[in-house]
Amino acid sequence: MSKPAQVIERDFRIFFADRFLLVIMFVNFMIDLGVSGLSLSTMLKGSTLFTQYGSYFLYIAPGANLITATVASFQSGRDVWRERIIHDTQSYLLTLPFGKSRFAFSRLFSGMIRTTVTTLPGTIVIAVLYRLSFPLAMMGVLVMLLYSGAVCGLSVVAASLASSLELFTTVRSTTQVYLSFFSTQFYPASILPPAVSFLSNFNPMTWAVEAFRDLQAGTVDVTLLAPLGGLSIALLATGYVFYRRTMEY
Amino acid sequence: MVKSPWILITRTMFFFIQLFVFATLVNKLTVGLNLGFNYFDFYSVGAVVSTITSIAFIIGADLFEEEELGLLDYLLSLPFGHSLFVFGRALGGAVRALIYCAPMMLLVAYLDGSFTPVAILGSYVVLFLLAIGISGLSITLAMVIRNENRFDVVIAMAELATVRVSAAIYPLYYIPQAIQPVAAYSPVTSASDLIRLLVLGTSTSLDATVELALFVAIFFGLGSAFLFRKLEGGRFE
Repeated sequence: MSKPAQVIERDFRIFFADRFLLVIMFVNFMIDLGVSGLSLSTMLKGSTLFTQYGSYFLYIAPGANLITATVASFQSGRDVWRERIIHDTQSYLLTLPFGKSRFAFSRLFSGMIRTTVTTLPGTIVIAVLYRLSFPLAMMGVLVMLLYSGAVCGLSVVAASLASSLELFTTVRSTTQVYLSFFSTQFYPASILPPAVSFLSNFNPMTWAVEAFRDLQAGTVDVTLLAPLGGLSIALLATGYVFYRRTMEY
Repeated sequence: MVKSPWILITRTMFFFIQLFVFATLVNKLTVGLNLGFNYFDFYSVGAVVSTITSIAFIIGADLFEEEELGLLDYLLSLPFGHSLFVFGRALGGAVRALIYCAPMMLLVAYLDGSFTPVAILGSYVVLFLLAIGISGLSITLAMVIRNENRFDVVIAMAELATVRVSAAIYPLYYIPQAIQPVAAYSPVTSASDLIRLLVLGTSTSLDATVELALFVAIFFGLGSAFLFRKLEGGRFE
């Protein structure tokens, strides 16, 4: 097994060691979608803004899965933070016969992969709701992967800077609020006030949720995927730089 | 909690974002739908109830941390009885949550045009009762769950479930029928309905008061029992 694959395999073992957490994440997704999604959808029944999507429920469905992806991605940051601050195992990990850059990159990549795997049941649920063909469903998986990259980058930045759990969880909550409320997850871009609209352009949630919604029409819009990919690469690179800085003494 | 300013600052920020971004924009979506109520006013009460629920849950995290750091042993050596300690922790969680949410409730009463002593004081009583019950639930979870990661995720889920499966964010009759019976008996629904009665003048039944009182009694009792059992050296190491 190659060295990056070993790092990824280790991260997978840590993450999937407690299956209870995975079940809870899926339950959260189902509450988001099956309770909040359906209730708001019933309340907004009759709104002409969502006719092209079928209903408000179908409009916000991808957002519920992306929120689960946010939670799962931040577990990567939490692992990094725990290794640095609680268990003090980072120094040991850095003594392994492994380049630091490759190690940092592998950790970020494993975060992306395991988030995509964790949210796969949710992605399948939405693909079924959207009646996506297999190739389009795979595009949905790609959207989740790109979004996971952006959030993993953010979570590793937080983990690299935070010296206390309180600070890390604060950054996590703030990021979640920014991703949810300053994006088009709940409401269309046409009704956003200018300030929120401006902020939503730099929000990976906006591009991910729009790209996913676009799959429902049976098309893949590269103009939505490209900004998502760009943000993902930029945030992963930022995460990489900050993580590498913690490895220097 | 005063020593954790970030928690206070972010929770306050979230409240304002919920109110002035989410509620305002969803209210825009309801224009022309003839819902029969103003969503902003409806949600504003739900936002305070959600926030106090979220703050009251923190007491469990504090106890969990004290237990992990071994601070609990020191606290037990202090010169007062264990019963008093248990009672104090559960009530402390509720009092600090109320202090934190009191200005928010004032703002909501003002925005909703019900800035009267009866509405405000009545709302404080309801919020305090809810916070006692949620503190009890949180203490119970903290004493039952032994793994830090699990505790974090379970608390997040409990918070999500208590708020979402309730009438805090949307009226009960819009919730899927299969879930309505659960949501109807949620303490968050009871508290939201009672505060809406006081602030917005919407109708509610006496059941809401009974349900809230029952929830408080059950979880205050359970939380106290679990914590007391721990203090007395029961099954925990």
